[in-house]
Amino acid sequence: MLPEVKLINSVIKRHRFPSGVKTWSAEYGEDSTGDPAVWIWFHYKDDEGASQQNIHELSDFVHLIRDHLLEADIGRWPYVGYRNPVI
Amino acid sequence: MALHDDLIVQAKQLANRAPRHPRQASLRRAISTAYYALFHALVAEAVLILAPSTPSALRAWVGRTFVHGDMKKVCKGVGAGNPASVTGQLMSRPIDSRLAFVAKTFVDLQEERHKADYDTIASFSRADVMLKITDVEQALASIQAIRGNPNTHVFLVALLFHEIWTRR
Repeated sequence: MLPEVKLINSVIKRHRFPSGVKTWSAEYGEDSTGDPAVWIWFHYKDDEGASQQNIHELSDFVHLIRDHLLEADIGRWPYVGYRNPVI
Repeated sequence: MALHDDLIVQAKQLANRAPRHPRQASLRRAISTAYYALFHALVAEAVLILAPSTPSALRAWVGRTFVHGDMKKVCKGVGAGNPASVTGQLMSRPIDSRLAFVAKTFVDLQEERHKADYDTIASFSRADVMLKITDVEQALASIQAIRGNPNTHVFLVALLFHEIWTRR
C-alpha cells in the first residue's frame, strides 16, 4: 500500500461515521485544474431525505475529515463528500 | 436582492424538487447554481475594493476579468493555511478559520460544478447537494463577517492578481 493511501486510511479510521454511512471509497487522480487530488466518498443512503439535524452531522463530519487530511499534508487536495451507495 | 442571494435560493429550489426521487439534472443544476452564488459573491466583494464606483460599468468590467482556475489556486493555498508567493507574504498568520472555510468551500464547489456540468458518469445524492448548498450559505455569511479584515483584503485582491504575482 502506498504511504499516502496508508495515511488517508489512518486519518479516516480515526473517526466515527455518521449514522447512515457504512462504507467509503477513494479515487485518486487530477482535479479539473490538473492538480493531484483524492476524492473520498462516503456512501450514504438518503431515500427518506436527510433531516436538518442529519445535514449538520453529515456536514461537520466531512469538514473534519477534509481538515484532518489537509493537516496530514497528503500531497493531494482532498475532496470529501457523499454519494449514493453502490447497488 | 443581490445576484448571489437569488442564486442560492434557486439552488435550494432545484435541490428540493421531488425530494424522494430527485432527478440528477436538478441536482446537477443545483450544484452549478450554488457554485455561481459563491463565485459572484466573491467577485462582488473583490471589485468593491479594487475599483471605484464610477463610471457605473467599471466594476462590472473588472468583475469579468476574474479567472475561475486562478481563483481556485488562491483558494487552495488559503484553505490549506499556506498561501504562496505575494499572497503568502502579505497575509498574517494564523489565517482566520472563516476565511479558510470560504476558500475551501470555493475549491470544493468549483470541482463539484465541473463534475456536475461535464461528468455524465457521476451520480449525485440529494444529501450531498444539500450539504454543498449549506456550505455556500455559510461561506456567504463568513464573507460578510470578515469583511474589512486585512487578510480578507489580501485574499480578495489575490483572487485577481495571484497568478500575475506568481509569474514576477
